[in-house]
Amino acid sequence: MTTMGSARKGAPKRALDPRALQPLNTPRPLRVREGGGGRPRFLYLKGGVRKVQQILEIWQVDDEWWRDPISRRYARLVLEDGRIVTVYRDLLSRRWYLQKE
Amino acid sequence: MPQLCQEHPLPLEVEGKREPFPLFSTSLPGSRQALCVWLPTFELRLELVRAPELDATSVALLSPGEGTRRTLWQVSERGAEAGVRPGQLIAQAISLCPSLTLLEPDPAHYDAAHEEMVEALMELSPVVEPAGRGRIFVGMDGMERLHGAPSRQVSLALQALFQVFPAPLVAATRVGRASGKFGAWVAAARAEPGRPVLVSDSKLPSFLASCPVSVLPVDPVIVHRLERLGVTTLKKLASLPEPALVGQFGPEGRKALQWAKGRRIDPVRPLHRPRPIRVSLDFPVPAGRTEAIHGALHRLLEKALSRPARRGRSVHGARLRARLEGGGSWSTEVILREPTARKESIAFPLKARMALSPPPRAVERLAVEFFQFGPASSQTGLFDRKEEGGRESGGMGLEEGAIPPSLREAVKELKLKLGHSPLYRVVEVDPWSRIPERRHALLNFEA
Repeated sequence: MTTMGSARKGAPKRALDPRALQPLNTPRPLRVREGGGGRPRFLYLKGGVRKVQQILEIWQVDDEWWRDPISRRYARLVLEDGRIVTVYRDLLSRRWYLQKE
Repeated sequence: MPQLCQEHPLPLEVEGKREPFPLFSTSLPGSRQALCVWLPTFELRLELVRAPELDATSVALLSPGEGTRRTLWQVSERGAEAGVRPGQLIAQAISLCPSLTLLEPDPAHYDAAHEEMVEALMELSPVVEPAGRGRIFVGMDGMERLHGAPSRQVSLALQALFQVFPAPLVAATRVGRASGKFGAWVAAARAEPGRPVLVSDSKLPSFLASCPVSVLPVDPVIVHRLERLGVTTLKKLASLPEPALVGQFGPEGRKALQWAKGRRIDPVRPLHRPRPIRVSLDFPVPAGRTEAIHGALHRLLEKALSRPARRGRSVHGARLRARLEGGGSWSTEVILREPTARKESIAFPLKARMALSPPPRAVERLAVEFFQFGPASSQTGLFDRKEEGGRESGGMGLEEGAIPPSLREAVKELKLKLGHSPLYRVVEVDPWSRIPERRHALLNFEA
């Protein structure tokens, strides 16, 4: 893995065209059935509906308020099949997303 | 024959390294009913069979390897009574027990005895799966009509061992029988010599309940954490809710719970052993110089690779053995990252292992053995061309972020064929961003 701008000393630096970059791990829209307090209870995943067994952690990210504000409430969940997934609710659009970390 | 103890008596240990036995889901073929035949401190017992005069003395086997701070691997009961323990330094052990006899390990001898044990048990059932030296699982599904009740199956297993081992060794063997390898192993570990433990399906959960969590074939960190949380037995573990365990330990937590409840049955899978290719060379005078051994290694690899039995296959696992001057043996082995038929690719890791743990004395006979094979492939990888920047030069001549010429060629070919370059690399954009999709991005190779 290379780090942008961390080229070896002395090597000519090449400007990267931002358009050449494709984001990785983009969140996917997700259908969620909510329970009390807006907490996720069932996730509609590719393999079918999965019940949320446990919510491990909830945290909120508010960022970039100076341009396109981002406000997300993340939740790390244990599903009934043992999988651990991270989802978030976009607090601006009120939509749910599946997030790969 | 005295009682012997070793560093970790219960957990699933293979050659000093604790690791779980291979796990298989119940959907895979194999035998559900498992017989575990276990000879604890197998290596030290073999030494005592070879030198019976040491039987009544304090004896310890040194751990394999060479170094200035060598430790003890296995200790006889008399040595243990004097306070000597596996893992102790030699100096510590001698100060505790000045009459302690130290033995150098002879891995070639132990491997040969283990092979004989496997062969003998194969007469009982075709489904035999070794799990480290001196511990073998035998699949017993459908064997009742041939061999009778489980207790008779155990006696037949011991009779089979009598064909290859002397009576004291067989008498020390522990046998357990249960559904699945885990149950059978725990039963064997609880058994005493001459008193096998046979666990029926209905009794398996209650049998496991009293066992400590250290018998679980999971990461030792998980076991340690469970113990610190006060979960010391499988009964306590089985009473915990599954989501809590999955939340704490992930999928391993779920497996541990299934084992604790006796619900996870890992079948015994038949051993598939390709016939190994062995070549050896006798030195006219014992060789102590590394250069001489390296030269012999290259000659042996050439010879082994040119064997007709090797054609059509690449080599995945190779072992280097030596018979030492004045008795004893030495061996080291490697599992190659990628199967190969190139002499240098096999010689390099073997030499590296030899540099870390060289033969302790001069070598009389050197032998190379290929014991695992991969598919025959002459396809060249993108990154292993002999050109500048390829694997041959270790990429040393390349600037960071530069593309090796061989890869650039490949991209050109793909672009001609597809109309665009489909190759990307992952670059860090903002690795500490709180927004996960901002951390990394794909960048076209040509950008």
